[in-house]
Amino acid sequence: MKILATYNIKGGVGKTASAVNLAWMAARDGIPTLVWDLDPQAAATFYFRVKPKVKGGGKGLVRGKHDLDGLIKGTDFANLDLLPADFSYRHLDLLLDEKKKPTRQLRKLLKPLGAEYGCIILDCPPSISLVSEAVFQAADALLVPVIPTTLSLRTLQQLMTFRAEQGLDKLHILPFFSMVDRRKKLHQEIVADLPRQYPHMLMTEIPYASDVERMGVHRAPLGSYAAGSRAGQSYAALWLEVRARIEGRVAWE
Amino acid sequence: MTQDTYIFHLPNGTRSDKLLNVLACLGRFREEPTVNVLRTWYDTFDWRIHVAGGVLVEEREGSRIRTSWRRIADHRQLGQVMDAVPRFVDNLSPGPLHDSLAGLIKMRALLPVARLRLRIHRLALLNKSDKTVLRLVIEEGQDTCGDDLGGFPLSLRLRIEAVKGYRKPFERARKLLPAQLSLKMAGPQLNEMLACIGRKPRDYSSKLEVELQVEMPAGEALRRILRHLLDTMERNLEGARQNLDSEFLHDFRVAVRRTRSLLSQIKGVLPSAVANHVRTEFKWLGQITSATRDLDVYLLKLPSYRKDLPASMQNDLQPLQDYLTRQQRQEQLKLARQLASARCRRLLDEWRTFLESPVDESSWPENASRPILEIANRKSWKTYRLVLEEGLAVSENSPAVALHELRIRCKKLRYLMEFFQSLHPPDVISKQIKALKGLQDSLGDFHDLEVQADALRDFGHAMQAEQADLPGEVFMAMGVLIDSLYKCQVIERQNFSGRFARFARPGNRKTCHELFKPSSSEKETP
Repeated sequence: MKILATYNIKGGVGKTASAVNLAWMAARDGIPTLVWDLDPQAAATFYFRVKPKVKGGGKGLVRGKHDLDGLIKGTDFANLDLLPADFSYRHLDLLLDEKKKPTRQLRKLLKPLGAEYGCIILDCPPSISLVSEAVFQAADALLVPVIPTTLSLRTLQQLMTFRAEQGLDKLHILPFFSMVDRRKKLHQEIVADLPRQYPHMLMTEIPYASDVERMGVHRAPLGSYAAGSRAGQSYAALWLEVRARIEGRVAWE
Repeated sequence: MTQDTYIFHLPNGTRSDKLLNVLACLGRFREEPTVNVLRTWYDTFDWRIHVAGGVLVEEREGSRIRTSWRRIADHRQLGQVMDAVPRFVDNLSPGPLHDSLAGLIKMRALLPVARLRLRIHRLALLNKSDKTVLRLVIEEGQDTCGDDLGGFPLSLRLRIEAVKGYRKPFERARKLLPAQLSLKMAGPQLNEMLACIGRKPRDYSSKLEVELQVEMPAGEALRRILRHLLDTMERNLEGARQNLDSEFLHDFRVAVRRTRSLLSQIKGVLPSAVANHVRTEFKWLGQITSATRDLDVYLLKLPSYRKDLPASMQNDLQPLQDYLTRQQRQEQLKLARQLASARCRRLLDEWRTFLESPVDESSWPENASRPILEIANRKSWKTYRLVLEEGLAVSENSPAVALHELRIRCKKLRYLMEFFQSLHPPDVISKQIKALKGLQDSLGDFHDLEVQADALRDFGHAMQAEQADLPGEVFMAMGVLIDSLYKCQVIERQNFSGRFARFARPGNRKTCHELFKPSSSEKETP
């Protein structure tokens, strides 16, 4: 089982769209896949048409009152399940803080799912918090969507620094460009320049596209209704890069 | 664990309006476009996947290929890949399915066992948010594929699949639909397919399981065992000739060896002229198959040889692998010719004619009409005592040849115990066979380690003679291996006394005495 997390300190960068679309592709390729929507905004849960409600809420989950497997919902797609978000996840930091070794709790909760799923994707809320630290402990790799803007680059640098300071040597960080608008000069410059600084970043760029925004209208992954669109093809290419790393054909970093 | 899938037979001629009316009771459905699927079941020749309670199914739907491994009991999917089934499991995409199947299938080839063309209609029951909460799949068997992998079109099947986290609609559907549509639970589709062509799963096993009765005349009992062995040879002949995998030849050779052993150990039951003739011919069959088998064994051992070497030397064995592969190909070609020869065909045909003809009592020895238990026990007891005698005589100073002879004696006893196991209480005889197997394994390893070391030395000379400019690393690696094999042999030699003591412990001796020792009146029989 590989655990990936779509993560960025900054919000609105395409984390949920990436989580949902990559999960759909993993499932389509025959990998039993679970998306855990950790964001109380519940966007991934909305895309999969599932109620944003978890029995016992975040409290029941962290305190181990409910078996994680019993909270999972199948989606419209074979091989693809969802652990929905719950509004109480907004207090997840506090709930984790009640536990001993709080940053290890997510990993502990996910461990029993290893027999059932080949890939788990954690859709993370923005910010850097105790939840984020627990994600860093649980995940094999962070998939970091980066809008080619100055502020987005700054948050990527913050993440890299945090990893180094915390000694998270086993955690791989894979940035990729998201919401790229080639008409903007700044986007062009950053897309050309950043790979020199981060040679291991994924090569695929996800364009800024209305098809991605329309996921909210279709309430479905892009591949299920616009696989041939430019954005659909970009996610497919991104998935190929990720899959090669999951299968060990390419080094993570 | 709760079951998530149920499969029912839909009676042929079920009217679609009736079906739709019943489905409407469940709620609103989304219908997906009907698709054509070619479904092929795969297993090894000896049904390793089925024996483990599963089926391996490849489905082709347009350009999409999906291979899934499912548990038979509850249809649960245990693993899947989006690839075709390869011939050998090593060529399956890396991942959990590969890892799970590799230990099960090992060196055996995955062969198609049944094939069916289907039209598949998929329906999704939706909730208020248009979210799928239940899946229904109607499978319509179209036809088989004009080959020998299937029978007649099958009846319609309805599959009800739960969506995780939505149990209520599933429970409702699985109760309502069978009641309203008079559905009967369907058995495994593979069994139905095979039944159409007169087959059933697990219709081959390399195990020697022949049912005999204690009072059965010895002549009839021997013919029954020999017919079973001949069947095994015939069933493996084509796979061995085509080299589908190395086990066909292995099972073929074991059946030949068992036949020879039975003919030479139980004398005076079959007409001696026939027994002598076929013994000579089966000896020939054993000889012509041995070179290929030896090379198969070394090729199968290569991965473990590599593991025995330091990491830096593991790739150095590649020239040895290339050499063995070339030699195996050459020997296999010769073998294929021999197995297709008139001499081989004549032997098997004449042997079958003999084994299936009525017994002509005038030409059969008197022992043929004696009860098999008496004949079998007399020989088994004698051989058992010899094993004990020879084993007890082995000391720390005994030469290797003493252990080699004991190994052969044990093998004879093992064959006798297996030929006639159905004459004894199953749990008692299987415990004794297991005890003997422990001793045999030890003796076998002691012998094989030396044979392997010698063979590696011979391969080294032959490789050098064939190609003078081979890198020195390969010979160094082979040298390290030879050294390690000799060291293991020394350890195995030290283990012998413990293994033999376990085999010959008083409890086992008492059991064998009770199982095999003939009564005094029987001892007087000729």
